[in-house]
Amino acid sequence: MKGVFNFNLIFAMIAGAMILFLAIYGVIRLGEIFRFQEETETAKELTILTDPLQSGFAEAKYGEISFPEETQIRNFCTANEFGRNDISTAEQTKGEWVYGTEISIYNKYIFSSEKSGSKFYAFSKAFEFPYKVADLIFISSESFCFINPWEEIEEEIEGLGIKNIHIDNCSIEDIRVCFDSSNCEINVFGNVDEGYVEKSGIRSYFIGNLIYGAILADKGIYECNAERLIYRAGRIADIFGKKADLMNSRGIDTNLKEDLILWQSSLEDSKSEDLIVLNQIAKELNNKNELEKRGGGGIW
Amino acid sequence: MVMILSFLEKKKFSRSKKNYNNKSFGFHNKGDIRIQQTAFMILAVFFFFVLVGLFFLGYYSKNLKARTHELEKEQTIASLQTLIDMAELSYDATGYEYLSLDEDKILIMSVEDYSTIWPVSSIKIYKVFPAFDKLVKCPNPGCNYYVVYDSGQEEIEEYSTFISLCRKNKEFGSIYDKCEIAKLSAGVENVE
Repeated sequence: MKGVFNFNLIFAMIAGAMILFLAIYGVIRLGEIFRFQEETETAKELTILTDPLQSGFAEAKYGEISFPEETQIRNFCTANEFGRNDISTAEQTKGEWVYGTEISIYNKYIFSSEKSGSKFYAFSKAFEFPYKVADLIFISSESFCFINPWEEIEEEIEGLGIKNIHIDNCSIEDIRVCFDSSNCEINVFGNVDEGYVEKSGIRSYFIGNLIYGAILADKGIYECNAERLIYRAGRIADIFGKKADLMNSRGIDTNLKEDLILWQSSLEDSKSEDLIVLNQIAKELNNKNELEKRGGGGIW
Repeated sequence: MVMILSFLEKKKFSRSKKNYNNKSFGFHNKGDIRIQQTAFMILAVFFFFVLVGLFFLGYYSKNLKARTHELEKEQTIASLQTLIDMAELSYDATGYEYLSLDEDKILIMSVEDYSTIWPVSSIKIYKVFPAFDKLVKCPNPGCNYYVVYDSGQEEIEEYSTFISLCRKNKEFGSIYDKCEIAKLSAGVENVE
């Protein structure tokens, strides 16, 4: 009888331990799933939050995104045709960043770095090449200090009230950005229309509002998004070419069709290094459109 | 089967009459019964937790679906403004048009493949005036709606906003912006 009782006890203990183990394992797994879901939801919410941030009718927009804990925003960029930004967020658990599912965004151009923070500063500016192509969204948690910035840049930053970009008044934590000199971590040369940004001796060429992307974002993300924008500018040129045909059929004469075809072919397979050369063609194209606009026409 | 039965007969689980009448089915003592009781109890507890887990998972997945739909809906509503601002659709003759779409671009976009870039499941533009009895897809004579994009998903919930649908026109030698009222409708897949 004693032997049976012992066997009984051992059997119950083994089975109990197994059930207990399964229960603990289940709870841990569920916790991980919940956390994964939470991070995925955060990434999705972040993409939704950037919708009203797109400048649209306004020239620029600024907003702040706060997280309850230290968060990292991971941004994978793919430049195939329209390309995409895959956004995921992570919070730190036991010293490790636990990421949720990536949310793919095809119609936005998000420039960010992988630095973590609990508060992110985001602003958007339109990208015109020479017509409006898209809105650029710049997200950053780091603090920058612009030393001797060009007048237009200074006015823009002060006008928007971007809290993580200081002008001339630098603190120790700030990443220093020098304009037309090479004494800082980041150095900018050129003018507001075009130029290049130098980070650790590596250059990123910019035109117009892409300057912010070249300064704030990681080089890989900047170049990938620039490539995506060039491709999209080419597709819009194609649409404008077809629009020119429709306008001509209604008796509104436009001579931009040939120029648009040429513009589209110059954009094909171009990279961020070609931006400055392309900008010259864009300026000429814009001048021609402005002339037509004066006569009541114009494509854009 | 025959082999198993013959094996049982050789062992203690004999199917002889003798073993059916007493202490039932080969349980020789209280210890055996206790083991069976404990085993059944553990199994019952296990199945109970499995059922609770299944119930919880069902509830959780229902919640997750609702949350997904809620986020998609939020995104679609936010996307309406994004769509209006997109260079592929917007009308920007003087730079001051607000909530205006370009009818020429829409006509072109209804045949262009831009499927990867749209943040919604469907984009349709309905002309509002003059009132119509039946829908005629553009570009057909007397048409009243454009389909810019349709993902082909079946259960689509549509959200819409009124916009101006404009294009440049020439009459009596002068060029002007001809605008009419229309409705931009963006669809989101209904996952509920």
